[in-house]
Amino acid sequence: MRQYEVTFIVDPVLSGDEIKSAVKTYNDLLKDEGCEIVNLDNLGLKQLAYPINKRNSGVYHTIEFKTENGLIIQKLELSLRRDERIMRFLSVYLDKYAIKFNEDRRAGKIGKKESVIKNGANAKPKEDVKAEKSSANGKSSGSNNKAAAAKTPETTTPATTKTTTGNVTETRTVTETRTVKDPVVVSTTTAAAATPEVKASEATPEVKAPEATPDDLSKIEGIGPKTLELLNNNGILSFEDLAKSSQSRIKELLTTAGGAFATMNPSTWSEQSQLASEGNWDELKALQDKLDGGIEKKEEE
Amino acid sequence: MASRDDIKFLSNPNLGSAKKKYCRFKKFGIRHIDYKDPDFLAQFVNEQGKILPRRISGNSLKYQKKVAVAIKRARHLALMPYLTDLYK
Repeated sequence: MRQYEVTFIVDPVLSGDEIKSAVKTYNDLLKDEGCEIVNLDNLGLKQLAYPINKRNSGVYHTIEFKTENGLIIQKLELSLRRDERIMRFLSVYLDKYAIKFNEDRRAGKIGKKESVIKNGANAKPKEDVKAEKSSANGKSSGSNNKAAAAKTPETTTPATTKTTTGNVTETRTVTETRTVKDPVVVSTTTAAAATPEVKASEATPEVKAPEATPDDLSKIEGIGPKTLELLNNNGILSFEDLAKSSQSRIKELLTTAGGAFATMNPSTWSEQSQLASEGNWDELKALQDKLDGGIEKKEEE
Repeated sequence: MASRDDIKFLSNPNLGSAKKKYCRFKKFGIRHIDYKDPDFLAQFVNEQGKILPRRISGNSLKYQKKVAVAIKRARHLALMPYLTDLYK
Protein backbone atom coordinates (compact mmCIF):
# COMPACT_ATOMS: atom_id res chain seq x y z
CA MET A 1 0.00 0.00 0.00
CA ARG A 2 1.53 3.21 -1.09
CA GLN A 3 0.81 6.31 0.87
CA TYR A 4 0.68 9.74 -0.70
CA GLU A 5 0.01 13.25 0.39
CA VAL A 6 -1.36 15.90 -1.91
CA THR A 7 -1.34 19.53 -0.86
CA PHE A 8 -3.20 22.07 -2.93
CA ILE A 9 -4.00 25.75 -2.74
CA VAL A 10 -7.53 26.85 -3.43
CA ASP A 11 -8.36 30.28 -4.75
CA PRO A 12 -9.32 32.46 -1.76
CA VAL A 13 -11.82 34.63 -3.62
CA LEU A 14 -14.24 31.74 -3.78
CA SER A 15 -16.97 31.48 -1.20
CA GLY A 16 -16.57 29.07 1.67
CA ASP A 17 -19.02 26.67 0.10
CA GLU A 18 -17.22 26.64 -3.20
CA ILE A 19 -13.92 25.94 -1.47
CA LYS A 20 -15.50 23.12 0.49
CA SER A 21 -16.97 21.65 -2.65
CA ALA A 22 -13.62 21.88 -4.40
CA VAL A 23 -12.03 19.86 -1.64
CA LYS A 24 -14.93 17.46 -1.71
CA THR A 25 -14.56 16.75 -5.41
CA TYR A 26 -11.02 15.52 -4.86
CA ASN A 27 -11.97 13.62 -1.80
CA ASP A 28 -14.68 11.86 -3.76
CA LEU A 29 -12.43 11.29 -6.72
CA LEU A 30 -10.00 9.44 -4.55
CA LYS A 31 -12.68 7.47 -2.75
CA ASP A 32 -14.29 6.38 -5.99
CA GLU A 33 -11.02 5.03 -7.22
CA GLY A 34 -10.78 2.92 -4.12
CA CYS A 35 -8.25 4.90 -2.11
CA GLU A 36 -8.32 4.89 1.63
CA ILE A 37 -8.27 8.46 2.90
CA VAL A 38 -6.04 8.67 5.93
CA ASN A 39 -6.35 12.33 6.74
CA LEU A 40 -7.88 15.55 5.52
CA ASP A 41 -6.29 18.73 6.69
CA ASN A 42 -7.26 22.32 6.28
CA LEU A 43 -4.28 24.54 6.88
CA GLY A 44 -6.49 27.53 6.33
CA LEU A 45 -6.01 30.84 4.63
CA LYS A 46 -2.34 31.75 4.41
CA GLN A 47 -0.34 34.53 2.90
CA LEU A 48 1.60 33.36 -0.09
CA ALA A 49 5.32 34.02 -0.14
CA TYR A 50 4.94 35.39 -3.67
CA PRO A 51 1.87 36.20 -5.75
CA ILE A 52 0.32 33.39 -7.76
CA ASN A 53 -2.18 34.29 -10.46
CA LYS A 54 -2.17 37.81 -9.08
CA ARG A 55 -3.40 36.62 -5.69
CA ASN A 56 -1.52 37.05 -2.44
CA SER A 57 -3.22 34.48 -0.27
CA GLY A 58 -4.72 31.06 -0.59
CA VAL A 59 -6.51 28.32 1.28
CA TYR A 60 -4.28 25.31 1.83
CA HIS A 61 -5.68 21.81 1.99
CA THR A 62 -3.97 18.49 2.40
CA ILE A 63 -5.22 15.02 1.68
CA GLU A 64 -3.31 11.98 2.81
CA PHE A 65 -4.37 8.69 1.28
CA LYS A 66 -3.37 5.12 0.63
CA THR A 67 -3.61 3.19 -2.62
CA GLU A 68 -2.56 -0.09 -4.05
CA ASN A 69 -0.48 1.38 -6.85
CA GLY A 70 0.32 4.86 -8.05
CA LEU A 71 -1.87 5.04 -11.13
CA ILE A 72 -4.42 7.27 -9.46
CA ILE A 73 -1.85 10.02 -9.09
CA GLN A 74 -1.82 10.78 -12.79
CA LYS A 75 -5.57 11.10 -12.83
CA LEU A 76 -5.60 13.19 -9.70
CA GLU A 77 -2.96 15.58 -10.96
CA LEU A 78 -4.65 15.94 -14.30
CA SER A 79 -7.90 16.98 -12.71
CA LEU A 80 -6.11 19.32 -10.30
CA ARG A 81 -4.39 20.94 -13.21
CA ARG A 82 -7.61 21.40 -15.11
CA ASP A 83 -9.54 22.77 -12.17
CA GLU A 84 -9.56 26.55 -12.22
CA ARG A 85 -10.25 26.80 -8.53
CA ILE A 86 -6.91 25.23 -7.68
CA MET A 87 -3.90 27.49 -7.90
CA ARG A 88 -1.09 25.09 -7.05
CA PHE A 89 -0.74 21.51 -5.99
CA LEU A 90 1.97 19.14 -4.96
CA SER A 91 1.68 15.38 -4.55
CA VAL A 92 4.28 13.57 -2.57
CA TYR A 93 5.03 9.92 -1.96
CA LEU A 94 5.42 9.30 1.78
CA ASP A 95 8.17 6.97 2.92
CA LYS A 96 7.95 5.16 6.22
CA TYR A 97 9.51 8.02 8.17
CA ALA A 98 7.12 10.48 6.67
CA ILE A 99 4.17 8.28 7.54
CA LYS A 100 5.38 7.96 11.09
CA PHE A 101 5.95 11.68 11.32
CA ASN A 102 2.44 12.43 10.17
CA GLU A 103 0.99 9.95 12.61
CA ASP A 104 2.94 11.42 15.45
CA ARG A 105 1.87 14.89 14.53
CA ARG A 106 -1.76 13.85 14.53
CA ALA A 107 -1.28 12.19 17.90
CA GLY A 108 0.18 15.44 19.18
CA LYS A 109 3.54 13.95 20.01
CA ILE A 110 5.46 16.55 18.06
CA GLY A 111 5.81 19.61 20.18
CA LYS A 112 6.24 18.00 23.57
CA LYS A 113 9.70 19.42 23.91
CA GLU A 114 9.87 19.99 27.62
CA SER A 115 8.52 16.57 28.44
CA VAL A 116 11.52 15.10 26.70
CA ILE A 117 13.94 17.07 28.81
CA LYS A 118 12.27 16.48 32.11
CA ASN A 119 11.35 12.89 31.76
CA GLY A 120 14.34 11.26 30.24
CA ALA A 121 15.29 9.85 26.92
CA ASN A 122 12.50 7.44 26.27
CA ALA A 123 10.22 10.11 24.88
CA LYS A 124 10.22 10.82 21.18
CA PRO A 125 13.47 12.60 20.41
CA LYS A 126 11.90 14.27 17.40
CA GLU A 127 10.23 16.87 19.51
CA ASP A 128 13.51 18.30 20.70
CA VAL A 129 13.94 20.32 17.60
CA LYS A 130 10.51 20.12 16.11
CA ALA A 131 8.90 21.65 19.15
CA GLU A 132 9.36 25.25 18.34
CA LYS A 133 8.52 24.93 14.76
CA SER A 134 5.47 22.90 15.36
CA SER A 135 3.82 25.79 17.14
CA ALA A 136 3.28 27.06 13.65
CA ASN A 137 1.64 23.79 12.68
CA GLY A 138 -0.48 23.78 15.76
CA LYS A 139 -2.83 21.37 14.06
CA SER A 140 -2.26 18.57 16.56
CA SER A 141 -5.26 18.76 18.76
CA GLY A 142 -3.33 17.10 21.53
CA SER A 143 -0.82 19.80 22.08
CA ASN A 144 -3.45 22.47 21.70
CA ASN A 145 -5.58 20.85 24.35
CA LYS A 146 -2.67 20.72 26.71
CA ALA A 147 -1.74 24.30 26.07
CA ALA A 148 -5.30 25.38 26.71
CA ALA A 149 -5.57 23.31 29.84
CA ALA A 150 -2.33 24.60 31.27
CA LYS A 151 -2.98 28.19 30.41
CA THR A 152 -6.26 28.56 32.24
CA PRO A 153 -4.86 28.40 35.76
CA GLU A 154 -1.82 30.37 34.75
CA THR A 155 -3.53 33.60 33.94
CA THR A 156 -0.42 35.65 34.44
CA THR A 157 1.55 33.65 31.90
CA PRO A 158 3.12 36.10 29.48
CA ALA A 159 1.08 36.06 26.31
CA THR A 160 2.94 34.17 23.65
CA THR A 161 1.90 31.99 20.81
CA LYS A 162 4.52 29.40 21.60
CA THR A 163 2.97 26.19 22.75
CA THR A 164 6.17 25.35 24.56
CA THR A 165 5.39 27.87 27.27
CA GLY A 166 2.13 26.15 27.98
CA ASN A 167 3.83 22.83 27.85
CA VAL A 168 6.54 23.80 30.27
CA THR A 169 4.22 24.84 33.02
CA GLU A 170 2.11 21.81 32.42
CA THR A 171 5.03 19.46 32.48
CA ARG A 172 6.52 21.12 35.51
CA THR A 173 3.31 20.52 37.38
CA VAL A 174 3.33 16.90 36.42
CA THR A 175 6.90 16.35 37.46
CA GLU A 176 6.22 17.86 40.82
CA THR A 177 3.66 15.16 41.37
CA ARG A 178 6.00 12.66 39.84
CA THR A 179 5.44 10.00 42.44
CA VAL A 180 1.83 9.71 41.40
CA LYS A 181 2.08 9.69 37.62
CA ASP A 182 5.44 8.89 36.18
CA PRO A 183 5.25 7.70 32.59
CA VAL A 184 2.08 9.56 31.73
CA VAL A 185 3.62 12.70 30.35
CA VAL A 186 5.87 10.76 28.03
CA SER A 187 3.22 8.62 26.42
CA THR A 188 -0.06 9.94 25.09
CA THR A 189 -2.18 12.98 25.08
CA THR A 190 -5.59 11.52 25.86
CA ALA A 191 -4.59 9.96 29.14
CA ALA A 192 -2.54 12.91 30.25
CA ALA A 193 -5.07 15.49 29.17
CA ALA A 194 -7.07 14.92 32.32
CA THR A 195 -4.18 15.14 34.74
CA PRO A 196 -2.70 18.53 33.87
CA GLU A 197 -5.98 20.24 34.54
CA VAL A 198 -6.07 18.78 38.03
CA LYS A 199 -2.39 19.05 38.84
CA ALA A 200 -1.99 22.46 37.35
CA SER A 201 -4.39 24.03 39.79
CA GLU A 202 -2.74 22.22 42.69
CA ALA A 203 0.72 23.19 41.72
CA THR A 204 0.00 26.77 40.68
CA PRO A 205 1.63 28.37 43.72
CA GLU A 206 4.73 26.23 43.19
CA VAL A 207 5.29 27.33 39.66
CA LYS A 208 7.14 30.56 39.90
CA ALA A 209 8.64 31.14 36.48
CA PRO A 210 5.86 32.91 34.55
CA GLU A 211 4.52 34.86 37.48
CA ALA A 212 7.60 36.53 38.92
CA THR A 213 8.83 39.61 37.17
CA PRO A 214 12.10 38.66 35.53
CA ASP A 215 15.08 40.89 35.05
CA ASP A 216 15.68 42.04 31.57
CA LEU A 217 18.15 39.35 30.64
CA SER A 218 18.10 40.55 27.06
CA LYS A 219 20.43 43.34 28.18
CA ILE A 220 23.11 40.72 27.94
CA GLU A 221 24.70 40.57 24.55
CA GLY A 222 23.93 37.24 23.02
CA ILE A 223 20.53 36.90 24.67
CA GLY A 224 17.58 37.88 22.55
CA PRO A 225 13.84 37.59 23.25
CA LYS A 226 13.67 33.90 22.44
CA THR A 227 16.63 32.93 24.56
CA LEU A 228 15.24 35.12 27.31
CA GLU A 229 12.07 33.10 27.28
CA LEU A 230 13.92 29.83 27.29
CA LEU A 231 15.94 30.90 30.30
CA ASN A 232 12.89 32.19 32.14
CA ASN A 233 11.06 28.97 31.53
CA ASN A 234 13.92 27.11 33.11
CA GLY A 235 13.95 29.18 36.22
CA ILE A 236 16.65 31.64 35.35
CA LEU A 237 14.97 34.94 35.95
CA SER A 238 17.40 37.46 37.28
CA PHE A 239 20.95 38.40 36.50
CA GLU A 240 21.94 36.71 39.73
CA ASP A 241 20.42 33.44 38.64
CA LEU A 242 22.28 33.54 35.36
CA ALA A 243 25.53 34.43 37.06
CA LYS A 244 25.13 31.57 39.49
CA SER A 245 24.20 29.00 36.84
CA SER A 246 27.17 27.04 35.73
CA GLN A 247 28.43 27.12 32.18
CA SER A 248 27.62 23.47 31.72
CA ARG A 249 24.05 23.90 32.94
CA ILE A 250 23.38 26.69 30.47
CA LYS A 251 24.97 24.74 27.67
CA GLU A 252 22.86 21.75 28.58
CA LEU A 253 19.69 23.83 28.48
CA LEU A 254 20.58 25.22 25.11
CA THR A 255 21.48 21.90 23.61
CA THR A 256 18.34 20.16 24.80
CA ALA A 257 16.29 23.09 23.60
CA GLY A 258 17.76 22.32 20.27
CA GLY A 259 17.36 24.19 17.04
CA ALA A 260 18.89 27.58 16.89
CA PHE A 261 19.59 27.51 20.61
CA ALA A 262 22.06 24.71 20.30
CA THR A 263 24.33 26.84 18.18
CA MET A 264 24.60 29.65 20.70
CA ASN A 265 27.73 30.32 22.68
CA PRO A 266 26.99 31.27 26.29
CA SER A 267 30.62 31.60 27.35
CA THR A 268 30.45 35.23 28.36
CA TRP A 269 26.93 35.30 29.71
CA SER A 270 27.82 34.60 33.33
CA GLU A 271 30.47 37.26 33.27
CA GLN A 272 28.10 39.81 31.84
CA SER A 273 25.32 38.89 34.21
CA GLN A 274 27.67 39.14 37.14
CA LEU A 275 28.36 42.73 36.25
CA ALA A 276 24.69 43.37 35.60
CA SER A 277 23.59 41.95 38.93
CA GLU A 278 26.07 44.17 40.71
CA GLY A 279 24.66 47.11 38.82
CA ASN A 280 28.01 47.73 37.16
CA TRP A 281 26.55 49.07 33.94
CA ASP A 282 29.64 50.96 32.83
CA GLU A 283 31.87 47.94 33.04
CA LEU A 284 29.23 45.86 31.37
CA LYS A 285 29.07 48.27 28.49
CA ALA A 286 32.84 48.22 28.15
CA LEU A 287 32.78 44.44 28.10
CA GLN A 288 30.02 44.38 25.52
CA ASP A 289 31.93 46.72 23.28
CA LYS A 290 34.68 44.16 23.18
CA LEU A 291 32.31 41.30 22.51
CA ASP A 292 30.81 40.54 19.15
CA GLY A 293 27.43 38.95 19.53
CA GLY A 294 28.41 37.87 23.01
CA ILE A 295 31.53 36.01 21.99
CA GLU A 296 34.94 37.23 22.97
CA LYS A 297 37.28 37.62 20.08
CA LYS A 298 40.98 37.83 20.60
CA GLU A 299 42.59 40.95 19.26
CA GLU A 300 44.41 40.27 16.04
CA GLU A 301 46.75 42.47 14.25
CA MET B 1 55.40 42.66 31.84
CA ALA B 2 52.93 43.43 29.08
CA SER B 3 49.26 43.28 30.04
CA ARG B 4 46.93 40.87 28.29
CA ASP B 5 45.66 43.55 25.92
CA ASP B 6 49.12 44.39 24.67
CA ILE B 7 49.91 40.92 23.42
CA LYS B 8 48.89 40.56 19.85
CA PHE B 9 49.01 37.27 18.03
CA LEU B 10 49.48 36.74 14.39
CA SER B 11 46.93 33.98 14.33
CA ASN B 12 44.07 33.42 16.68
CA PRO B 13 45.32 31.19 19.51
CA ASN B 14 41.74 30.02 19.99
CA LEU B 15 41.80 28.38 16.60
CA GLY B 16 40.47 24.88 16.85
CA SER B 17 38.52 25.41 20.03
CA ALA B 18 35.52 26.71 18.10
CA LYS B 19 32.14 25.17 18.88
CA LYS B 20 31.76 21.66 17.59
CA LYS B 21 29.27 21.68 14.73
CA TYR B 22 26.99 18.71 14.42
CA CYS B 23 24.12 17.51 12.32
CA ARG B 24 21.03 18.23 14.37
CA PHE B 25 19.08 15.51 12.59
CA LYS B 26 21.57 12.82 13.38
CA LYS B 27 21.96 14.01 16.93
CA PHE B 28 18.30 14.10 17.79
CA GLY B 29 17.26 11.20 15.62
CA ILE B 30 14.98 13.17 13.37
CA ARG B 31 14.27 11.20 10.25
CA HIS B 32 11.74 13.22 8.31
CA ILE B 33 11.70 16.86 7.43
CA ASP B 34 8.30 18.35 6.81
CA TYR B 35 8.09 20.68 3.85
CA LYS B 36 4.89 22.21 5.18
CA ASP B 37 6.70 23.88 8.06
CA PRO B 38 8.37 27.09 6.88
CA ASP B 39 9.33 28.20 10.38
CA PHE B 40 11.52 25.19 10.90
CA LEU B 41 13.00 25.40 7.42
CA ALA B 42 13.78 29.07 7.93
CA GLN B 43 16.74 27.96 10.05
CA PHE B 44 18.45 26.59 6.96
CA VAL B 45 17.94 29.61 4.84
CA ASN B 46 19.67 33.00 4.88
CA GLU B 47 18.06 36.45 4.97
CA GLN B 48 17.57 36.41 1.23
CA GLY B 49 15.82 33.08 1.37
CA LYS B 50 18.74 31.20 -0.13
CA ILE B 51 19.57 27.74 1.16
CA LEU B 52 22.59 27.76 3.46
CA PRO B 53 25.57 25.61 2.53
CA ARG B 54 26.34 22.50 4.52
CA ARG B 55 29.47 23.94 6.03
CA ILE B 56 27.41 26.67 7.64
CA SER B 57 24.36 24.72 8.68
CA GLY B 58 26.41 21.77 9.91
CA ASN B 59 24.12 19.16 8.39
CA SER B 60 25.31 15.82 7.17
CA LEU B 61 25.04 15.25 3.45
CA LYS B 62 22.01 13.02 3.69
CA TYR B 63 19.99 15.52 5.67
CA GLN B 64 21.23 18.51 3.79
CA LYS B 65 19.74 17.01 0.67
CA LYS B 66 16.47 16.32 2.44
CA VAL B 67 16.38 19.84 3.75
CA ALA B 68 17.03 21.18 0.27
CA VAL B 69 14.23 19.10 -1.18
CA ALA B 70 11.86 20.24 1.56
CA ILE B 71 12.74 23.88 1.01
CA LYS B 72 12.22 23.56 -2.72
CA ARG B 73 8.84 21.96 -2.17
CA ALA B 74 7.90 24.72 0.26
CA ARG B 75 8.94 27.26 -2.34
CA HIS B 76 6.76 25.61 -4.96
CA LEU B 77 3.81 25.79 -2.58
CA ALA B 78 4.53 29.45 -1.83
CA LEU B 79 5.20 28.67 1.81
CA MET B 80 8.67 30.11 1.39
CA PRO B 81 9.90 32.67 -1.10
CA TYR B 82 12.37 32.00 -3.85
CA LEU B 83 14.06 35.28 -3.22
CA THR B 84 13.44 38.20 -0.89
CA ASP B 85 15.17 40.69 1.30
CA LEU B 86 15.13 40.62 5.07
CA TYR B 87 13.42 37.29 5.19
CA LYS B 88 14.09 36.87 8.88
